[in-house]
Amino acid sequence: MSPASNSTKTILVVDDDPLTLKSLQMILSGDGREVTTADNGMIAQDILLEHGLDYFECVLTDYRMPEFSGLDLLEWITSRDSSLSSIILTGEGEKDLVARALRGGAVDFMEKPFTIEEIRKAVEEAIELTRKNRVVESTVSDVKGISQLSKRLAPNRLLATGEIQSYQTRLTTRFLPIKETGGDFINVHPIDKHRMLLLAGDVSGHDLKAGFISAYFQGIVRGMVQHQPDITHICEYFNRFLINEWNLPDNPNETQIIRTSLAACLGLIDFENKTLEIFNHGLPLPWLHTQNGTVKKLGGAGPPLGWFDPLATKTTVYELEENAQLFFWSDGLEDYAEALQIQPLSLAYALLHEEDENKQNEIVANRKDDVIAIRLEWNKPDSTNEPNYLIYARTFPGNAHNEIDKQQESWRRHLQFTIPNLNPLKLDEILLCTREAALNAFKHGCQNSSEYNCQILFRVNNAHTRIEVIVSHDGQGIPQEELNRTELKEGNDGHISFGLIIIRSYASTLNYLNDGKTIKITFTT
Amino acid sequence: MTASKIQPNYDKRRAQLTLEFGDDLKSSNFEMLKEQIATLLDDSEQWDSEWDTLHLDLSKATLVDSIGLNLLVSIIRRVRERPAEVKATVANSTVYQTLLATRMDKVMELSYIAPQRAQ
Repeated sequence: MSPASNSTKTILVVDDDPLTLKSLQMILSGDGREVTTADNGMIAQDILLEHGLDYFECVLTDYRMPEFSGLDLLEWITSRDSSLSSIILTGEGEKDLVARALRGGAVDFMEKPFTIEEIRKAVEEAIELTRKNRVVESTVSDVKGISQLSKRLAPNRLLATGEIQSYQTRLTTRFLPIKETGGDFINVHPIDKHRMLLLAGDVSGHDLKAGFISAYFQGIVRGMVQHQPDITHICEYFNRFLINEWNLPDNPNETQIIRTSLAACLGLIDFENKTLEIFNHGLPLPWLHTQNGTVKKLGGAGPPLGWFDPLATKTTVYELEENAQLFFWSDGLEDYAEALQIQPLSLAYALLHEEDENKQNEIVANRKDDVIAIRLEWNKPDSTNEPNYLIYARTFPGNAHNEIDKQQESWRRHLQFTIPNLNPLKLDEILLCTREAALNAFKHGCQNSSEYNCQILFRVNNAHTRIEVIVSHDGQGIPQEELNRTELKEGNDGHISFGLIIIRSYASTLNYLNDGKTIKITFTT
Repeated sequence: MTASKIQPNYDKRRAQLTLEFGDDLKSSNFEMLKEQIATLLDDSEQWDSEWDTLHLDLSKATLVDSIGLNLLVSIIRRVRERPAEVKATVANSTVYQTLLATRMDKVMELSYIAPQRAQ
């Protein structure tokens, strides 16, 4: 319930002395003030509950009252509505005592005796404070409301299974903002039975202005994409809007400033024509991971929208590979991963795997920016294999064998972060086998030359019961008879090749692909 | 990286020379360990002492990779020429499993002590 009107000021006066009560009522009545009285704290409570605390704009109460003191009443009020200002009337010398007892709340003190002007002034100030507090509360409530509404646009519910024909799709998203409202967003728009648009963005700032631009852009994309899903065209349009309208200086004589910019990454996936179109201006590069073990960073990155007209880059179109996973994440996630000394991919995996929102927040507890992670998976319906999820991917120059200890420590860090419950003995075995496979790739495949590269991937199934290590290089392959050898053999340099023997002893399965240039080691836990 | 030192300890009563490895046996410290071993075994005082067992104390090693195994092989070959027996003590489960998987237990006496009992 609200006060009778904007101008009516409702005051509750509480005092067990009838004469003081009557006097205060007379002093404060009039000039648009409505005064309600109570001769003890219990009755005051009943009145406040009956009308609602938000009906009143000031409570003026005596400190010394039997049974339920003014102090008790104010503590009760503060615990229910901290925006309602109160004044407590104390005897001479009691003010400090009461102040110490009352912690917090919008409370003023007046020592008896006081003049009529002093009490009127104090009440006016208390009413002003209550009104200000309530405006702030209302704004905070509105902001929270906007935040809740924006969650309705969260893409999980937009992408029900079956909307895309001929593929099984699964979308997992995490949006962990640092404030109730801001400019980061995730959208997914199914366009028709064969196409969908994946959209992630970050408007500069974390205020209502950023929230407004964010919502405006999302609305424009949603409207335009239904009629003409040309993502370059959409982004060029919004880029011009930011430069020519939103960021125009208030005074034409002033230099134009970049008041607001928008980093956005859009992915248009066409399952019928098997194309993946990426447009990225300002967000980290999206990653694509296929079940057969390829990993790509997609597209080129231009500056955010709102900086330059025309836009420097266009979309990049890729052939859509089957049984794959597409990742988007925000620069907030990249920054946090850097602080943790892990790959953004690994942090994205940990967040996407964790379903409990509180635990997701714990993972990025000290973030300084909004964190977004998106993974879209698509698989052919006849694909019976359980998907593998990429948790680490790095390419090393072929002569990086000298840094193998540092690499191994990094692998340990990534595996412990992404699979926290991994048995320490199993972890040691995986690390040893990865080391052996990498040493083999550096020495024999890449011949310790920087002309070649060695890539190492870690993948895991959803239940964390199967871990895959894939080590591949673009150097020389290994002859089949060498791969099949089970006996120890001494090489020309006098060294015995123990590597594959060690790997075989720990791995559940071992596969060679691509003429032995790729070795896939599987562990079960 | 700090150099991992191999500490020799001659026990005349048991006719045993112990080499205590302070670190892992791996590709990144192979050359350094190889040089240390050569220096120790080429030292006439060590080599000429009366011992018939070489004890490799690997209880501080948490990693022995394929290159580290080659170091062990070279030590065993050298000591067999003496002739003398080689035995090794390990305290890490993965190191122990690796030595078994590569059949190193066939060419030296291998003991595994639980980590809490390792010196």
